[in-house]
Amino acid sequence: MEQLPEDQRAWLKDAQQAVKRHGFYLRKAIDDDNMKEALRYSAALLGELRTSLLSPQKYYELYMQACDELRNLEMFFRDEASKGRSHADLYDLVQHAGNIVPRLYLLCTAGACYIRGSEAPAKLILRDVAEMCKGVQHPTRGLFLRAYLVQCMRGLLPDTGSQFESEDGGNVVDALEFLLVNFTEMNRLWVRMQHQGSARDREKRERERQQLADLVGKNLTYLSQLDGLTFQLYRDVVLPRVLEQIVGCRDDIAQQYLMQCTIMVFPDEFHLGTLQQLLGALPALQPGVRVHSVLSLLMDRLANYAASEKSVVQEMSQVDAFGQMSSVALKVVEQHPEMPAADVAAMYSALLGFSGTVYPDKLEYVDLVLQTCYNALQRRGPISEPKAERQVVALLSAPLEKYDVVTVLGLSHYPSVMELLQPRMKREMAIKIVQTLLKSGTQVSGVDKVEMLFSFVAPLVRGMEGLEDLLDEEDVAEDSGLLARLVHNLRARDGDTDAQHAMLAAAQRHFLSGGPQRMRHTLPPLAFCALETVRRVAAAEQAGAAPQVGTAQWYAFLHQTVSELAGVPAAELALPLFLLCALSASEEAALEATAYEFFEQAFVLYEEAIPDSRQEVRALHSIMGTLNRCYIFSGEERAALAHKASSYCSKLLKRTDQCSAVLAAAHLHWQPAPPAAAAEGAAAAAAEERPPARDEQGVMACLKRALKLANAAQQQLAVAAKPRPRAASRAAAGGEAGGAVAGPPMLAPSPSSLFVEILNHYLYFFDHGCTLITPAVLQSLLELVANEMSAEACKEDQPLQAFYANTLQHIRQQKAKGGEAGARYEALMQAAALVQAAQLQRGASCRRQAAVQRPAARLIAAIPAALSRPAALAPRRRCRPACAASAAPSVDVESARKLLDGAVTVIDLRPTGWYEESRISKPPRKSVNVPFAAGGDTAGFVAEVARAAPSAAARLIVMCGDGGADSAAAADALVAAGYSSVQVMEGGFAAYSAVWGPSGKRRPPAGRWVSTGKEALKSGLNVPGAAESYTEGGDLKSARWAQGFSDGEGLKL
Amino acid sequence: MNKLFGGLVGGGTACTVQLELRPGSSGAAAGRPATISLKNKRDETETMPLFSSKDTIAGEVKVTPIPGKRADHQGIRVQLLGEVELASERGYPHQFLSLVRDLAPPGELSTQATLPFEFGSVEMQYESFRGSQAQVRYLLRVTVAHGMGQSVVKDHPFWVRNWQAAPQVGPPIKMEVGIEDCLHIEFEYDRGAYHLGDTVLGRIHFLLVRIKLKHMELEVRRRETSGAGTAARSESETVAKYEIMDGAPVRGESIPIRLSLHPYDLSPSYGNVFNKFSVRYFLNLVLVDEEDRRYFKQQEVTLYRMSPEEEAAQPGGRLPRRMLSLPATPTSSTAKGEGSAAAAAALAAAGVGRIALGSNGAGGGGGGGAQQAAQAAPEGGHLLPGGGSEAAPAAAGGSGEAAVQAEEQQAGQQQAAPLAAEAPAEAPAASAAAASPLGDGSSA
Repeated sequence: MEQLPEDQRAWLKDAQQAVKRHGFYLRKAIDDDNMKEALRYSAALLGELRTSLLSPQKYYELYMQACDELRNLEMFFRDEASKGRSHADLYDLVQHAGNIVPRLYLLCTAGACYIRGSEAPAKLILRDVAEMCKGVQHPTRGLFLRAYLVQCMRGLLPDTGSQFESEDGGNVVDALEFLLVNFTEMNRLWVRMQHQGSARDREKRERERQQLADLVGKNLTYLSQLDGLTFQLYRDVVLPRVLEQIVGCRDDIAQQYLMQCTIMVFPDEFHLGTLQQLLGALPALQPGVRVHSVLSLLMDRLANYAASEKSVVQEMSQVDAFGQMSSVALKVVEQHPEMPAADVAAMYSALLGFSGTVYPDKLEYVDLVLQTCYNALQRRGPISEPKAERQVVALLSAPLEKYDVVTVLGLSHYPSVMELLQPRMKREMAIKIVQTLLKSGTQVSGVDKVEMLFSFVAPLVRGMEGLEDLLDEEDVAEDSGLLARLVHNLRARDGDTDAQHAMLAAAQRHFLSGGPQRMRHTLPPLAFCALETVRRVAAAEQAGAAPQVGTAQWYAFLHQTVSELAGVPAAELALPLFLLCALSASEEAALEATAYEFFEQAFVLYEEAIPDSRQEVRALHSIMGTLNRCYIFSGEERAALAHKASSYCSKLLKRTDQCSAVLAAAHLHWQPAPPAAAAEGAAAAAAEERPPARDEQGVMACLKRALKLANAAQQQLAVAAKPRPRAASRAAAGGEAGGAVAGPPMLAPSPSSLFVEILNHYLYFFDHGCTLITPAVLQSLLELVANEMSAEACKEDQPLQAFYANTLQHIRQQKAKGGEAGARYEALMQAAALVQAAQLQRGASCRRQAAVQRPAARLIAAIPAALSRPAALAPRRRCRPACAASAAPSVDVESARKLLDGAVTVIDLRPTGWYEESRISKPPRKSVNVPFAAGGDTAGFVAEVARAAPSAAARLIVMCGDGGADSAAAADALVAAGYSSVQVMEGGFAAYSAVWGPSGKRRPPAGRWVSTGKEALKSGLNVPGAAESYTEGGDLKSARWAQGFSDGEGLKL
Repeated sequence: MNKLFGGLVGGGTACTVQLELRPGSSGAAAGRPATISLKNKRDETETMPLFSSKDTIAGEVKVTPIPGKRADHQGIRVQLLGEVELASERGYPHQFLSLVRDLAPPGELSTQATLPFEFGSVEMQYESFRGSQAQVRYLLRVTVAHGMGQSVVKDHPFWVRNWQAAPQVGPPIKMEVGIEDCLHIEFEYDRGAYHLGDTVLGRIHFLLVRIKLKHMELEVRRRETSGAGTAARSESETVAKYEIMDGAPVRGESIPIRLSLHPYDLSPSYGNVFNKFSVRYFLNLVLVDEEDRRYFKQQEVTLYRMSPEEEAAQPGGRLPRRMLSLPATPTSSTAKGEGSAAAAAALAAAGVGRIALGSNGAGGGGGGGAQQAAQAAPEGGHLLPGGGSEAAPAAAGGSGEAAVQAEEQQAGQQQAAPLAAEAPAEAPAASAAAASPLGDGSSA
């Protein structure tokens, strides 16, 4: 029977009113002290509870109301007793009610008074009332009746220590018995609810049942609240009975709810003591019960319990809590083969959580759980539903957080469980593993561990089948980034370099299988890691130790790694790495041939693989910088390398780049003294043999070339009249202003800054005792630079000026230092004088620049030719108003309308599509469509018009879309063609149609009702639309059009 | 001294007759005669003196002539009458007791005459009774005789109640009844005889439930049978109706019965009153299903009146029997009550009960089944499907009464006739005699 909510409400309202009415009479009877009437009205009131119409929720409202009224009766009963009426009489009297539902409510009430008055032993009354309540077998009514019973009797139970406990009145056992019996009966009623009504309403009924769950659960709550409930009683009486009922009822909802309820209400220590019984019930539950949630609840409780009290853990071990739980989990899974994978996983993660909290040191438990879980899940095939996937991931993540990652991964069943996941989830899991590892900073040592780790993170290392499509580049980069970070956690124990080599080799092998996209990210850290280790190896070798994996092998490893990287291709990464390797080989391992090989590779890369000139510059500077730091090479080899590097300089594209590169190359001829730190190492010996290569001639040649190049660049600039790139000068100024540093500016410097740059280099070599640079040379250079700097453009360049000023400051400082160096500077002109000189020349310089600069050519945007787009697609075209001026006079829409009534032709210039859509249609045959746009085929247009209006004296109005350039051009063309009377429609068709409707009538103002439709009404007919179309003479379509409806809407008649 | 006034003015001779009773032996202790308040048919309460058998009824009659007038008479006498009146012969009561005391010889009265009388240790075998079919009444009739039919006759009714010794309690009434494959119950009343203030305790075990029950009630029915032999007429009425279950039970459920008899207007069972009528009581268990079909089973119980002293001396004191319910142990047959046909056959073979199938829809087949079962276990009872309306049970009951005599033939009739329940609206007496398969086990 489908009951509508409105019906429900109406019924409830009726019933409530009846209850209210009877309640009123009841109170009146009580006031009159009339027992008979009081009973009569209370029975009538309770009679409303006999309804079957209400849903449980509505019934509950009614029940509550009735209970309120019953309270009055209860008070009355008590009063009566104090007046001398015996409770036994009352108890008897209430049973005369003919209907069972009211009778039993009254019986409960009277029974409660009976017990309270201590006239009868509580146990007897309780037993009797509970028994009599069996008479109500209707689930809803029975549940509420028994709920009322429990509520009445709650405080009257012969609990231990209560006033009702006595020889006759019974003890806590009787109280338990009462509650248990009531619980059993209520549960039976509750379960029975599901069989009522048709299968169609099943869902609704289950919802209703859920609402009633609390009524049943209350019994358990009260049970747990009994003071006399000892563990003994719980174990021997309560739990077996409760479980028997729960298991026996064979109902999903009830079992689920009651198991959870049992776990929730009774104390933890009880659960611990009766774990076996409790768990024993789980496999017996119905398949539909979410056992995992029950189990999880229990495990969570016990885990919390264990966490709060340490002594409990001992106890738990004694009862083998874990073993029991896991075996139950196993049983559950076996018995419910159709249990969804998500539930299985959830259950096992709860188990894991439990074992993690209670036995943090027993890793074998984790493995055991994983094993059983794997067995359970395996039968269900690969996990694909999202919920299950999430659960499995949670399951796998749980131990990662609690235990050492590497140890967990080492569990024999961890990978098998992971294997069940889809590639996508495997990837997520791998990410989680790596993240956890990185977070905890766990070191992975040992090849086997590395291998194992990589087997887990395989989805990150290489592309998985079915996963490529899902990942974009960013994802891959992210994954690889994680792996890259992971590399630094691979660390052999006790600095064992051999082991380290093996591990890195293993990692390399895995990384190489990842494809270029990943290798770009994963190989560099590997190389750095190896470089870090090779330093230790070299140190060890020098100390006399002989690691199995010698430096040579390490370099071979590095060579391979970087070559692979170069092959990715990622030359911009590989090249610096080669250089680093070379430096390392040279300075740490003193392996000349190896270093040379690395340089060679770097050069090859430079020549072949650097695609971008910007990168080229940067790479070249790196090469030269590194070369300058390598002291291992013999003269020839060094010369060969230096020569090669220098030769690259001239191959750069930009003059400025060439210039700075040449400046850097100058340093190749003037190797600085080896650093003190390196002097202690292997390179020290070599350095002693081979003093730093210095060639003053070479230096001078380079510097001179740089000057030349700077000049050339200056001229180039003058030719192009390029504005000064501000970023470049800023970068130049960003360099060390002291001037002694050879660090090249990263971006192309401006020619002016190049001069300062060159000056700096001169000063550097001057400082370092290059004899070929004399004060005279410097002096002339200073003058040149001062001259350059006084130029107008340079004046404005603040960073450049600062750079220059700092350079001069350096000279002053050197001078002030005195001594040998100061003496050399003495010869230089005063800086102030230099500035002075520069300022004198300023005017001339300005003029020169002005001459160079040409007035900027004015860019005139090309006017796009009018495109003939399809009318439907084209936006309303607007002509440029500037061009709208025309020789022909214009006519406004008002006059045009008048003209239209005479002999006049409108030349409609709009595209055909628009014309078809709407045009001047009244008066008829007045408009001609001759599409034309300004700049179009004038002759063709005129010819076309001539066809429509052969006479040159014909009065024409040209009209385009908006009265712009098109109509002006057309009018001009027509005037030129000899038409004497050509006018231009002001505002074009848009303006016209805004005022005049297509019927030639004035459009009504928007928003005003213009017709009363009198005619239509007078005729006695209520013709639909008659009033609406009044002004249009009955034409509804045009009337609606006139109202301004757009195309699609409103025109349907 | 209780005064009963009954003023009556005779035709020509006007005199007033008053009768005052002296307390009889029953009310002697209290110093006044016992009285009883009764409700008559018009729902008015009347109060009458109360006596029991072997009481001495004594008092005095006061005859007062109209002041200033002389009244002559041909003798004054008082009669004690006991009558049985049947509804069918209204106005022609059968007297079973008639005692006369002449109080005054013919003469004249000028002032009030006070005339004492006494009936010593009157044997009043039958209790006063007012039923629908018959009534038993006692009265004191004072007659101031006059010639020519102008006697002044004044009746003073009184009420008689007799205490009875408790009959043999006998074993509890226990019976399994059912409708094949539909409903199978076992019910149990703790005794076969109850006193009027007693509580009926019982229990119903549902052994098989395949119909959707709505509720179950227990009725107390009174059957008055007048006449004898073929002229016997019975009429039943429901004196009490008591709901004992709400909703549909499931198999194995056991519902307690506890029915207090004392709020109801009951009389003891009368086996035979002056060979004119009998009154018997039945407990009728009625199960109503969701389509308002009624299934019922009647069971005769003997009611008796227990003397107040005895009642007060009942064991239990403060916690009388009405507190208790029967223990919930079902009888041995619960184990077999699996509801299958096999179980039913087993039961039938054991002679425990008889199963008659008879729901509204399957009347003919039910008849056959019932007959079959009846042959197997003639001693058993079966449950009756009844009509859908409130009127039906009474009709069926009435018809059943008529069928008592023809108990033997009923099984035979049954298979031919459609069940009464099938057309509850046309249930009245005419068709009912043959229609109802009433197989009241206890009346067999």
